[in-house]
Amino acid sequence: MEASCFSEASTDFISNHEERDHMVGQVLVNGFLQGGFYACIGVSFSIVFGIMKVINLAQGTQIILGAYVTYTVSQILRIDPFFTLPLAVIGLFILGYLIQKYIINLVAKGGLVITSLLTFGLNLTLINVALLIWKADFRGTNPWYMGMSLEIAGVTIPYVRLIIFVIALLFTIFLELFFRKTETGNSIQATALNPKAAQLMGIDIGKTYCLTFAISSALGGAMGTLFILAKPISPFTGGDFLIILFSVAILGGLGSIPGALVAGIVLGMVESFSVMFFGIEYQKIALNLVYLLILIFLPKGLMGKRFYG
Amino acid sequence: MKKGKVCVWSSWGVILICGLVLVISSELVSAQEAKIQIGAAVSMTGRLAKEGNLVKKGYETWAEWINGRGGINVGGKPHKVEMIYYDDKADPTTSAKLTEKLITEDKVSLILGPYSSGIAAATSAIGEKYGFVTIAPVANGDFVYERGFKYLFSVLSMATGDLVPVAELAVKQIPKPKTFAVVVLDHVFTLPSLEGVKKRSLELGLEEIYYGKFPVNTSDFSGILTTIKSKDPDLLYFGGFFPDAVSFYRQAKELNVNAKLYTTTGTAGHPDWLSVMKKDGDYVLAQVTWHPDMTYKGPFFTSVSYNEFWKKRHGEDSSFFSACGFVAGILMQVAIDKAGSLDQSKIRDALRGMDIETFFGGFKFDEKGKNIAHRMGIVQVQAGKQVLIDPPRPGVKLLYPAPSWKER
Amino acid sequence: MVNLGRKGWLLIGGGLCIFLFLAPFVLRGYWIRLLTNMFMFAVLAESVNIIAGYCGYLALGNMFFFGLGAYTVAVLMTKFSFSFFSALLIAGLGASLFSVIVGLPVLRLKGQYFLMGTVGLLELLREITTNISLTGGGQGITLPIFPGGAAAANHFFYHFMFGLMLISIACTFYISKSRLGYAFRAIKFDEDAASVMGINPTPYKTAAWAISAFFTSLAGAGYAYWMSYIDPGEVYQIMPSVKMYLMMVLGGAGTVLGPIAGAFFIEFISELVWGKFLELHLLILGLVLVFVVIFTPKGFIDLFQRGLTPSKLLSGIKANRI
Repeated sequence: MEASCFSEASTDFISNHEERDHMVGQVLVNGFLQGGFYACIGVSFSIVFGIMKVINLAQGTQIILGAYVTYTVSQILRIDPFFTLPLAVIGLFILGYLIQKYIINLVAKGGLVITSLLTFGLNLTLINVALLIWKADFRGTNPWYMGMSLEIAGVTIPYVRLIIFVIALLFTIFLELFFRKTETGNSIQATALNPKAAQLMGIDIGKTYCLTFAISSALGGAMGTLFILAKPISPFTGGDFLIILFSVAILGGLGSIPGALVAGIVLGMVESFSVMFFGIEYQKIALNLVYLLILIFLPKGLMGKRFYG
Repeated sequence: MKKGKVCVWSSWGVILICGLVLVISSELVSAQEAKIQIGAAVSMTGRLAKEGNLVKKGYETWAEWINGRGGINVGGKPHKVEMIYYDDKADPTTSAKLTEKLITEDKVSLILGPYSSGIAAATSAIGEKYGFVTIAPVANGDFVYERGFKYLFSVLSMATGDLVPVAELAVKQIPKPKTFAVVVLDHVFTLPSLEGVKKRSLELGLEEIYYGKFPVNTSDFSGILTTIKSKDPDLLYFGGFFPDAVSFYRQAKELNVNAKLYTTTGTAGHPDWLSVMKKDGDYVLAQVTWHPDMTYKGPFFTSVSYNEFWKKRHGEDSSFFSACGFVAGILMQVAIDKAGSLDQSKIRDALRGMDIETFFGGFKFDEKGKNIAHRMGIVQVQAGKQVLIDPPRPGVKLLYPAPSWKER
Repeated sequence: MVNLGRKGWLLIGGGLCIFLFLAPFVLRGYWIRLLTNMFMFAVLAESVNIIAGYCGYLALGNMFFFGLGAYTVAVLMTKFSFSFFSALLIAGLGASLFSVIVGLPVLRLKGQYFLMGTVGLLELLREITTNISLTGGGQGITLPIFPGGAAAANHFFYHFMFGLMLISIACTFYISKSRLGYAFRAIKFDEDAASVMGINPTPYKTAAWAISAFFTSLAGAGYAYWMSYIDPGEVYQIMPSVKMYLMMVLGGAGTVLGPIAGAFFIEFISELVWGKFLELHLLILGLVLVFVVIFTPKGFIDLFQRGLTPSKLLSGIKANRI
């Protein structure tokens, strides 16, 4: 239920001071909510980068594919798009596993150029497949709760954004627990630390990589589902994520999930506040500058060390 | 190093063989037939797909209609028309390359323009290079026509005048508005119209309390909307393409940002606005290049009879985008008739000297190709219908102030 | 194969050059455009070869020099009425200067960070260009049309790109035989070891990037004038950047003619696909990328050298697979 504290008609009586506070509050909340999403997609990119040293340039498109799964299934079955989340996760998990097993694993030791070119080639292929199936038009969903929002202390929180934030957070926490507490998760970490030693301990590197990539892909798929709840997509939307993925991964420290969480929220805030201070036209510039500054001055991330270092 | 030379030799050999194959295969292409081929690169997919497809429908319907009458009259002989379409995916570079392909490879006799100013800017450069007339059906960003091109003609009057009637209407309302906010896409199509209405608003004594220019591909307006909400403007002027307007007004509802009057550049006059936005699309104003309720008369149709013809053919009212496409075809046909040939420079001269009225409105081109005889209309979406409120008609009123989102 | 000796090869090379030089007078517009495009990509591939193939610094975002060159010429010619050639010179030298300045912090980054840094620069420059009015913002810039009509323009740009390609080949050839090339290769192999051996990497890396920037931006400058209309999304695109890498890898990184051959081959395929299978353009390019990288990681010239047999194809995989 919406709790309306102020109706719009009474804004005439609000002083400048309160106006500004509300705006700052709103900007803060916008940034925070968006940050949760950024953190989660950043995690999906970061684990592949940290564990396999592969820059997955197709990650953005994998996210979008999850969104397309959601779009198509919710259209065909006429259900709320949110409930297609498990399908997107499973679908992208399988896709990721197959890609790693039959394609990426063939060149995983080949070095940076080789793997980057490979993932870029995959990206192009996936984009074109999406183009063939769904054309270049923008596709969106219209959940019944679209446009509805919560009002707390003068700050408007759209339901959709809140859902996205909560789910992204849950996934992130879940993944961290997976890596820390389960045997599979631990073996993945071990592989990242020292592949040769891990092999000696009986861990199958190939399978581990497949699992890692599959998890990253599945996570991306889930985030895609969430993304399309709020915004329309086209096959090319994946490219917009690239800088965010890079930034969160590096700022958070490669492979560190708590780091990525913090980094994501920081980036969300930067984006939100940059609109307030500089205007929307400089938002992307601000993000890019921040990214470059992070690369140059903080390559090891906020924490200053790798999580398993 | 022998091995090194082998590689060089093989690679050049590969190149030469490929080259020869290409040359031989292309010489086998058959000669052109004797009818008129007209090429058009339009946005069939991409961010401008909705509008682009409507323009394409206008072209198609015109081609069908003119062929039904025997074809275009070239020096006394009727020539049937064959249209060739390519999808430019709403990308200017692609459109330019496709236009060049149409001219140099497909060897079309005529070109019909793409949708939107940004794309027309790119393709008209190609047309100018090859001396081909480009009639731009829906491209009225002033900048496009300030480059000294001689072969470019605009169906529409320039964008700076588009939304001016909105400001003039608004100041006559009660309670009288005092402030306005401008949110505009940084693009040659939208900037001039928003600049125009901003200037007029300032002239009329309104105060500008926000001006935001957002880059292409922006989907998140929460930052802008939050700022606007805190400033509480009376009038909200928005300029952007279809996906932008949809995102913006949806998010405005989400964040509960209210104003007394809302506008878009053209989008709310678009047929899909009603089906996509449903009730949330009410009260928004937009300029329209043409409307079935207008009262123009041309050599083949009046505004009303054109719409009747379209309704019979397609089962629905003609959108103004299609009307632009259709009339562009008519212009081409009339110019060729006057010129008596398919020679591009003669067609150009015929267009330059034209001064006619059609179902769409008047046509008279200045030396830059701008149509100075055309006037935009304004519609407001009222209870799910796009009602023409300017030019003013008896019994039709502007609904003002708009109720807040929560009250609807 | 026939051993023609040095003189023989020079004669063939020279003959090809003369043929290509005279080609525009006998070929149709479509071919001229195709070849001009091939030459341009050859220049781009060769430039990236200098910083990445020889020096080992994988500047995936190298395309931003292209955009810089394009916009420098566009702005100088439209807003300040420069002539093409003076604008061209400024574009080239300006880009090199930019690479030196930006290289100060960025060339210090290693491996994947450098790669990601150049991608970030590409994005940043595109966003900046989209948002300042000097460059016309998102609306793009229209350059003055080349005087003399379409045919003259086609010839001009053909020879422009052809000449640029020859110069870049000559430059790379010179580098490969000189101390510069020796230093580059040392840096690529092991930068720390190189500095121990008395080669200070910094001026050499910087020189490599500056040379690469110079040619890339000249290609961009020519492109802008050729197309007459550019916008930020087009000249600051990551796709051609990756294509350059593909061409370099396919032809053989670190060789003089490898990237050129790679460029011709890829552009040829690209054009064929664009013409006949427009809808599958990205797919085919993507698949070519994937296959090249899996089966010919050292380039197809290397493959020709070692003999084109199925087992040799698979050896690429054997070396790199998990």
